[in-house]
Amino acid sequence: MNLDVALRESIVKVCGVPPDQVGPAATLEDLGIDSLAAAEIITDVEIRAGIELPMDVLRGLSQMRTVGEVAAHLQSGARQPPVPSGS
Amino acid sequence: MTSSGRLAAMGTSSPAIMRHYDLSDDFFRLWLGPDMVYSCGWWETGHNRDSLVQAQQRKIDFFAGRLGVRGGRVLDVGCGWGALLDRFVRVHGAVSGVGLTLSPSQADHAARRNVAEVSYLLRNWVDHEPDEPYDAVTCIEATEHFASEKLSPDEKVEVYRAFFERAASWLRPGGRMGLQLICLDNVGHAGSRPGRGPVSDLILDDIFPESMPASLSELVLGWETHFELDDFLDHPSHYQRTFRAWTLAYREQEALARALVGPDKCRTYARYFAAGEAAFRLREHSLYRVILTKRPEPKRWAVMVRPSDIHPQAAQGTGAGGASASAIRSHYDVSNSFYELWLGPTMMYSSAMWAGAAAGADLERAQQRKIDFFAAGVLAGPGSGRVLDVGCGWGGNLRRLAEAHRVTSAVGLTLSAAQLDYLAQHPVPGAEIRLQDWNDHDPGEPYDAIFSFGAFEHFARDGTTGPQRIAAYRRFFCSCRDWLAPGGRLALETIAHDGAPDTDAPLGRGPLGDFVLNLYPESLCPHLGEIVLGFEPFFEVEVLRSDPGDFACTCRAWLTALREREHEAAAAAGEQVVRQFRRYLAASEIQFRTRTVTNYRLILHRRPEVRI
Repeated sequence: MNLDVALRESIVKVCGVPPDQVGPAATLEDLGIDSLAAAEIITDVEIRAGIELPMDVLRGLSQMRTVGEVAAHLQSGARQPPVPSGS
Repeated sequence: MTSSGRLAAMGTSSPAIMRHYDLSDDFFRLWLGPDMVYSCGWWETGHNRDSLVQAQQRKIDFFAGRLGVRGGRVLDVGCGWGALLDRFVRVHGAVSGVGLTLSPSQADHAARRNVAEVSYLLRNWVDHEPDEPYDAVTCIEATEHFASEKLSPDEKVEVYRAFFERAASWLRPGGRMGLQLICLDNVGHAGSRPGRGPVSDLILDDIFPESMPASLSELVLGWETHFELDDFLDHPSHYQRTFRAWTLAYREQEALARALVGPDKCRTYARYFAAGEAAFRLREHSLYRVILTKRPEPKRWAVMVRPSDIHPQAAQGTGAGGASASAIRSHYDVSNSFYELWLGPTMMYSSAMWAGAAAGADLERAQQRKIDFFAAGVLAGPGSGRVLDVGCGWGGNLRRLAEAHRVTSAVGLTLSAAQLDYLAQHPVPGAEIRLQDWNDHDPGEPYDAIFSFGAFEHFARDGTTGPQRIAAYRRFFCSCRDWLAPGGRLALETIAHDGAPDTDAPLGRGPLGDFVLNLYPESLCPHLGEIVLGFEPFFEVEVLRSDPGDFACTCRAWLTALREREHEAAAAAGEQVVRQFRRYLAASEIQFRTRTVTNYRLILHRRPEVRI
């Protein structure tokens, strides 16, 4: 599943906003996405896209301001190789 | 921040270090063996023919593996005669290393190892300023020299906080730290001072002047700001065997030893080996092996707890209690059929143990595995003893203990009327369920084991400070000790703040903190230092695990089940509750995955005497 599509669908579902409001330039603040809603969106994207995002991506989310930034951030993380466990 | 000059003066002085470690390399080699490793080895149980050389290599190999030193740059603080860095480079593929020691003999000997990639420096840790960051830092039984015997516990914590802050600054982001720690265990700080008896006189006057082991709580307070816990291993028996091995090696070479250092020194060392072995056998001292990871950001504290903040009689006090019965009911009495939909058949509302099982694996099996893990740690054997479960929930733990571990006599405490009702309809054989606060519990007769999973978060209220929480936890641990028979054990599991800041509300005031507090009113998770300060007077620690991944997977399993049965859930508890729980489970999963919070698992042994 395309991560960008999954992300927008999750935002529509969790925030209860119409799809045309979830463009790349829409800010998380305007959509009412706080850290709590973000957690629900991220797990929803993971479940539906069948992926696991690395910790760096999760921790970096708080720096993102727009839907487009989040989408790019998720893409960059999803392309990374699995994080070595160190053991 | 404490100045370098002050820090150096608080630790063992160079002359005192030299008095011990510069005695005679040839003398130390007689009993340490050719590789000159002067710390506890790693002995495999059942390998009675393990040699000292093998045990020392296994210890070094453990740290190399868990720190992932291949290709990395390593600092060893208190490097001794240099064996660890030598083996890290030659065997484990570390690319470079720096070793610090205050002993000229050790620095000379280490330099003669001719490992080009390693420099051994005659330098105090307080003066170390590396040009480039390290991938890993090791500190193997050197912390005892960071704080002299003249320091108070508060001053010791000040030193350890400074040390771990410095260590974090030496490490790259995500860098790891490997510690081997000698800690005071069944003897407290005051009880280990000179004048206590011949053993401490011997060790403090003749063996390690100006040195002092830490209590575990002092070290946790030291590291918790800058490091998260990965591994914690309790290995006192390994030091028993190491001291015995030194004794045996020394006896074979006694004549030579006398020729090297004279009969008086020989007598002192022979007694020291025996005293050391006894101290670990009696658990006056403990040996811990710890792996830490540098936090992405230092943890912020509302109150930097000092040991003196906790009143010695805190456990007897009547300070603020935990969450009230009505607060507990607001969460757990939502609807039994709602919880059944997504907790599954075990009705366990705490973390499962996945043991590497794939995502989507069997939640029921993973919950059983967790119970079995704790049962193996605290029950003397199948069918033996009387058990208490504090915060027994819907009885999942007691049911498994009765069915799989033949526990025939148990008491479960809950504050939830719905849970009591559920257990009346689905009784557990041999278990008596009481609607009772642990503060009001009277056991009648002693228990052999106590379990408490996911209840500790309710033992201190939101709005409390660290010292107030510690007082509340001390009351709980003191009560558990009183309720247990000698030799009894406590299995404890609790969510705790990990990287999250210390505030008087869960995760700070803000959408997430307010949301969690709304779901769990009057409750607040602990920090690791608070847990350890809570149990330390009453219990020895055998197991301490930080398992955030297990709880993240459990949240995902619950969330998946809730999503699949959303319509039934809404019919049972209403759409708003379902929405709230979906959000809470998703948020919790992320909190565990980012290590904002973690899930600690502890197995504790009742101390023979309360440690003052």
